[in-house]
Amino acid sequence: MQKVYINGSSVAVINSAQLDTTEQWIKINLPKIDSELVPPAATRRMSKAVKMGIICGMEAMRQADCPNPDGILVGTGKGCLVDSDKFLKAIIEQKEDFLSPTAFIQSTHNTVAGQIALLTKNSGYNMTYSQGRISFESAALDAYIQLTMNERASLLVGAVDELSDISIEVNQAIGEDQVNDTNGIQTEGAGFFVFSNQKDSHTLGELKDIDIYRNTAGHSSEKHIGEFLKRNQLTINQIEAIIYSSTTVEAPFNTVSPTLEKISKIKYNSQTGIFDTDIVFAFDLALKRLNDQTFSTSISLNEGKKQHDRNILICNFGEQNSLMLLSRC
Amino acid sequence: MEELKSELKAKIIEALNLEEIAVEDIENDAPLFGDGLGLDSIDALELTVLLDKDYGIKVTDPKVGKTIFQSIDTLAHYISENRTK
Amino acid sequence: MNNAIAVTGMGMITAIGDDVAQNYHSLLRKQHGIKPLQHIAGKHQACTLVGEVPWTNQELVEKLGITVPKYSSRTSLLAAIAAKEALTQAAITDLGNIPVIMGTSVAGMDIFEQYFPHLNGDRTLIQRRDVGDSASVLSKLLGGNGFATAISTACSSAANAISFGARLLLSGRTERVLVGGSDALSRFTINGFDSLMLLSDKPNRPFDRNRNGLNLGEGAGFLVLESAKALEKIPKPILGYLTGFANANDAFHQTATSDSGEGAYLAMKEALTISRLAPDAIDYINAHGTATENNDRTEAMAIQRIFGDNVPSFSSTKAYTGHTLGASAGIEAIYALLAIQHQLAFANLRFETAMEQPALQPVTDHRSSSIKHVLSNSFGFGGNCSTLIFSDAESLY
Repeated sequence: MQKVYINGSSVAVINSAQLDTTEQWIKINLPKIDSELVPPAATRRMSKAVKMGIICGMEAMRQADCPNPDGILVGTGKGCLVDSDKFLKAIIEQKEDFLSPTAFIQSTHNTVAGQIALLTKNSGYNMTYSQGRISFESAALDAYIQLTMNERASLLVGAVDELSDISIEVNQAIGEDQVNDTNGIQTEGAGFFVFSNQKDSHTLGELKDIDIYRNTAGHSSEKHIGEFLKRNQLTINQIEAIIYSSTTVEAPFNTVSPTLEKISKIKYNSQTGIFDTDIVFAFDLALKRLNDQTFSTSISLNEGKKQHDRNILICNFGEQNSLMLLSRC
Repeated sequence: MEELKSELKAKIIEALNLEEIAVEDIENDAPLFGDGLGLDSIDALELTVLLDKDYGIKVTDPKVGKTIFQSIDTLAHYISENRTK
Repeated sequence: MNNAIAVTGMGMITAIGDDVAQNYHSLLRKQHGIKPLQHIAGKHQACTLVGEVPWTNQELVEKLGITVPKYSSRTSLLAAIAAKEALTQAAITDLGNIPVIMGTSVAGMDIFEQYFPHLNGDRTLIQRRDVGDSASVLSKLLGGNGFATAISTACSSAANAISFGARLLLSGRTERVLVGGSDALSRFTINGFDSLMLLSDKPNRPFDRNRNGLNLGEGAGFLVLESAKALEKIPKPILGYLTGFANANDAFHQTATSDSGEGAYLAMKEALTISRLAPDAIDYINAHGTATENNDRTEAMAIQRIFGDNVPSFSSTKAYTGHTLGASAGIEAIYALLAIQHQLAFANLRFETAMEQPALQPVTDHRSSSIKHVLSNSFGFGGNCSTLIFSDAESLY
């Protein structure tokens, strides 16, 4: 079985200072796309989701020096929401007359993956997963399987979610008491990574394993984490940090277990706000920590003891849960 | 006719999101597709919607569309002869 | 063969039948389901031709015979009916932690758009629109508690869901998986394809020179896939094997395919490589064949590039069901398996005159012959091209 390395990483999330607000929705400030990278004629129809995908996707491929991976996999919780909303609204307001096709074309969930393929002339595997908060992990699992089975050698794997003014209005109209079911500020963002089964000078870490599961009565997350580590021949003591997100009322760590107590636990949503695929930030953060990079953030990256075996566990708890194990190589 | 032509140019720029292009940049006889303005098949559909919505002209045959959408000149000519609003 | 991926259950609902047996009988009698739109109010009702499942949502709930959550989408109901049939055939009474991989293009748009933008003051409706909601709703409806995810690559979604399910089996992560696709008709998609001027005002004529567009359809098709290991533990009748699966991108245009059908060519080629079959081993092709000018011409071009002068019997069953978008590859996977089971290549309805280039002639009458391997194509917006190959149970051993 081949190993899976991460050879490039690029993430776009809001600036955490933007979170100091009473607003419930915050949009990302996106730089203009370099016209050398993408001709203006090509960007004129692109929604923010597509632009975020292209900016991060191209940057990750540049970092990894991998301009033509064997495929592109994208996860997105809500898809191309802005164009989807735009077309839906036009149907209602214009009573199904004079509808412009552009928004419909761009509303398709696989627009981001398709546009990256189109721009980079990539005729490889092209996949789009959409499953709420485990959309990125669904794409990552597919990539992981194909790379370990040596079906492909390198894949661009990422995720993107955008906010839409129309959806914000619709949400607001529903009423305050129902607005905020996830207890946090809703944001948008993207993250793309080059996964490869070849280690090289660009390698940032190894994705040792990934799992997606639902909790059942007899099977808690804590139990599941134990089994996950065991199948990777690790004990909890060999994990130097857990970076996690939780949309369930109680994260499994709240019931403090003595073994988990010693490990630094970072709940990253204070940096990113909440969007369906915000776990890409945790993925990037873990890679940065594994490479001892310092960068400005209020999250204390280097707390907790560093160990000989550098392993970080990324957890996503919600309707479905995911575990990803990243290690330094 | 000249008024219709500049009206068309402004409408095309808006409908097709041609952010970097001004009315003055579009020549009346320059090709809209291919080498000229560089429009594509999705733009052709948008122009079809524009004709229907603003001038009451229904173009259902793509071949007809191809001849009408050659340039601002051909488009303005067709509209002035066939408009119902 | 340890890596064999066996199909042990199949289930479906379309405009031509509520289950696999009814679909087969409609195919046999050349009975299509293309009629004026019935259930969706508005401009297209009673005029636009579609392949609609004749039942109302309430009637679908009754057929399903279980309690469904509030604002259940038609997409979820169709999926549940098809999935239940597939599980029953595979003798799986408890879905348990069996993964559910579902393809869909617009998921619960059908229910969301009825209330948009006011949504009845209920947040549930926002979730219903999420593509992923329908996969997890499906898993829960069937009493499951395993991993559920959705793939949304427009019209090839179900093919890609089937392929991902196959990869989960090959990786050894699971021994059984429920895969397929579902899409209900919605104002969103009908108006979308109308704005692209792709809808025909007549019943569609795949591969005919005078074809003038597609009819949309709705439905669901699901399969139970099992590994050799699972079948060692619990032996059961095998309906066929998934022997090839591939996806490639045309990387040419957002909605149109390249003249040479590059993506389609690459997908078919890779699927053949994975199945270790030479092109001449394919006995029947269930084509994507939407009956749009662009698709049929470029797909035929790609078929000719792969098969040269020996193009096998091929047809598009979209003349019967309409184009069921994200569900189509699930539905047509079952038609492929039926072709093997009954040794029959299904007639391509309404074909009269061959296209100019390439002048390929589909099967115009049901053709009875030895069918061991069937290739099924599905292509979607964003250049997404997928091919599946199904093989009969004997030829593997």
